[in-house]
Amino acid sequence: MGNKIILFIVFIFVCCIAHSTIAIESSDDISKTALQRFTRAIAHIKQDYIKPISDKELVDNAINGMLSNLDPHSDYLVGDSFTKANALLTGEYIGIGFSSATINGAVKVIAVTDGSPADKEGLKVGDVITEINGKSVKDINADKPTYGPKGSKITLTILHKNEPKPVTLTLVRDIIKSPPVQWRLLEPNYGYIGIKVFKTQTSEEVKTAITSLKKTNKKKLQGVVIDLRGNGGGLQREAVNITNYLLDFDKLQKNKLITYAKGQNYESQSFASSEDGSLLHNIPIVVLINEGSASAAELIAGALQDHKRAIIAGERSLGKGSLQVMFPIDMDSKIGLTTALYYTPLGHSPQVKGITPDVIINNIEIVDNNQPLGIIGEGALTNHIKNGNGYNDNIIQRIHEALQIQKNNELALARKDYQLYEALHLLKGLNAVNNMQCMASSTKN
Amino acid sequence: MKIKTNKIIQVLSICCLAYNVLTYADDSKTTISEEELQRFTKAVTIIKENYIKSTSDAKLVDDAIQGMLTELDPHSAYIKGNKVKILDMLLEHGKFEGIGIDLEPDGALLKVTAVIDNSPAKKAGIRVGDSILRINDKVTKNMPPKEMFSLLNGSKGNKVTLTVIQKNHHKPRTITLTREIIKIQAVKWDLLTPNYGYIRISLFTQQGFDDVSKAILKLQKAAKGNLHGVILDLRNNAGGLFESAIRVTNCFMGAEDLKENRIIAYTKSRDNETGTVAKANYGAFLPKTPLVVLINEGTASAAEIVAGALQDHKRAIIAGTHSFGKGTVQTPFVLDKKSLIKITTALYYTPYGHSIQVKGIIPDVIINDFKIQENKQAAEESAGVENLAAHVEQGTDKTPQKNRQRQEQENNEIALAHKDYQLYEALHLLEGLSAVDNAQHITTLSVKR
Repeated sequence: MGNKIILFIVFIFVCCIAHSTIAIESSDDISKTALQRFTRAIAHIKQDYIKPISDKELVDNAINGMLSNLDPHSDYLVGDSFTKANALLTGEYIGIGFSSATINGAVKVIAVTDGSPADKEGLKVGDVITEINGKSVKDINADKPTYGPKGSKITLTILHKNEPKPVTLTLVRDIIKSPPVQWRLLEPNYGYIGIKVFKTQTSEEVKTAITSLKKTNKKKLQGVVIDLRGNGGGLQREAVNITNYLLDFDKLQKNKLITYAKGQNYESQSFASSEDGSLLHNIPIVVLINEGSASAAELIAGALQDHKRAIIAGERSLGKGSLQVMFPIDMDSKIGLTTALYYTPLGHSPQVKGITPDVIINNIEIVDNNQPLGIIGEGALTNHIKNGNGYNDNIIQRIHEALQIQKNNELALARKDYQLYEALHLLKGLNAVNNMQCMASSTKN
Repeated sequence: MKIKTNKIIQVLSICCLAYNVLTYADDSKTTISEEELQRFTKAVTIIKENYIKSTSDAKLVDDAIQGMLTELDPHSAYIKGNKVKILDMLLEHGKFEGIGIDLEPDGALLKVTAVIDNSPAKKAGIRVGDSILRINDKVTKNMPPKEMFSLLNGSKGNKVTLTVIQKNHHKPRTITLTREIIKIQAVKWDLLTPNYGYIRISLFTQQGFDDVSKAILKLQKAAKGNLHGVILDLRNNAGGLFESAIRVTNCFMGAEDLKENRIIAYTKSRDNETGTVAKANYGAFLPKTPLVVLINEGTASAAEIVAGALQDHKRAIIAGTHSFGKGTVQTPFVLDKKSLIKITTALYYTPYGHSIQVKGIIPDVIINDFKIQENKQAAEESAGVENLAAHVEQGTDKTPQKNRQRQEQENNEIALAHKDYQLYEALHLLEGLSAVDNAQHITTLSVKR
């Protein structure tokens, strides 16, 4: 079943609880009549089915049947899906570099890896995939065929947003390196940290990213965008650590919760701690989410929103509010089982509902406007009066040119990633307000 | 996930080859290895102890059996609870309340595999091959069969809203249907023109043979002994009882007509073992009259057996579009009082050894289902002619009446072409066949002389 990054990550969400000590129970634990029904079915199939079938295949399908009927995130990992799941956790994989989710019955692209074949061929977040290799996409599991040997081809039929007719793309599989954490300065004083997935080292990498951002900028950072779009989740522990780095511990009220979880036989609570926390003390944060943000990503957004630590911007998240634990069956197979629902610090369950952004920013495509912008201003008029502060025309021209470069940069960002562009503006707005408050308080003093 | 909805189809698609041999498995020879069984029980134990909410053994085992069967093939299935009773009930009564479609899962989507004649679904334009995205706004993906069954079927008068993806439409359509009591009138007959008959079989039920033989006799009577040809319409016939299909085929070709190879169909199970061999054992009701069989992509299973046999023995010309290709035999096995599994145990073959599976029956003459554009001008013109004829009629003798008859027949044919283009074409084919047939008669007569 589902072994695409997102899906599988989703159920590795809390995989690290050791369960090596599960004893093999005797079959007395299952009611006799039920077990008899099961063994009878197997006997008939083995005896009379049109072709022979092994015990292992039947039992694998039986376990799979039990798990897939529990909920969409409980899953049985065996054979290919088992090895692929492990490979994905350790880093690189061969594929075309996108992840998808079934949203309202349509298979939608929710993340595209930068520089991947999917990215180069123009696959975009929000595209609907209708066919893979000429076969209609049946499920999120249709993602399975995206894996294959390097250099092999795959054909996707997709519907771009706002386009009535589907287009067909042929992609060549390649090694996909998708670093879980990416950082850069968007412009002086404004940082960006993108987190794609929560693996074993991810919180450490975020820590490094924050340190590097601070170092690169030299001056104090004035804001950071945390990009959780297309992040399908992963290890809960990592998400909790990262939340702790981002929260301002000193400003927390009585409630120090990051998250808590409850199930039939499962309960846990995670609290913010002062040690090894608050790496962005007093620095405004905007968190970007979209319909591809799930699970552990929603945990972070929910915690930062409840504690009013960050402004959540973008689109409503996926709404995957359950925890999965991994249980090994034998050497080659394990069960990812939903054991609990998790809650935000104020007790909201993101399950189904998702996290609603404070500021909704839709993913808009900016259409290139090729009209050259001839600068016509006062300075272009003959015999104009000089600036009152004594700036001569050359200086003013330089100021204007610098503005034009910034404008161009911003336009480029707006074209490439409109949501990020808007998030940056939000940060700037936040800063402007903060500065005003500072000024106000200093005047009072 | 194996989901069967429409009760009737569900029941009847279990071609009842082995219906009488429902047996309990001998518990003593449980053939599963201890190691594999342990793996299974371990999984059950983990789930019971750790899942987010409590689950019962019965549910887990049911899902496990269903999981095994779903992975086998699209027609192997686990049938639970009251559906076992419905099976018996429907074979006897042949009616149900619902909207009249059969759905099978095709990944996340549900595909329509059959549409019952005269059902609300048929009237609303739902066709075989359509995909159902939602039922009453509930997404069908992973919907438990029980829930889907109760959403589609049940008390008449209730409304069901379907979101449907149809061929050649990029956007889903929303259709609201009202559930009705659908009586399976499995066999219908009519004279298309004074000498050409039409028999429609929508399902091979227990009464199939009786109904068809009666239809043949009535057609002959209605044609005053001058029945020049018959169209056997098997379009959208999802199959039914194997035995019934064999007897019906026997109505059109008898033991004495077939000589050496009297086979209508046979099955082969695992290891190429020949299983049932069904032959034409009786005399035929309509052995010589030219026959055209209409099939389409909704013609499946038992209906394909009939078409395949009549084609192999060159008894009929098969027309229409190629059929569904369901050439597998399912045998039911009872697990306990409330559950049974049906598994695919064999493949069907036509008399000359063609497997129906996947390939389907390829028509001798392909007739696509066209919609004919209404030609307004032509209609007005013909109305004008009719008026004129009415005027003239008053002053003259018998000739105009003949003209009028001819005109009426022409109008009827045009109406038929609009209503059912495939049938219209099949009728032409039949008329052609009958002409050739007559010509041969004349030749043989003249040769004899």
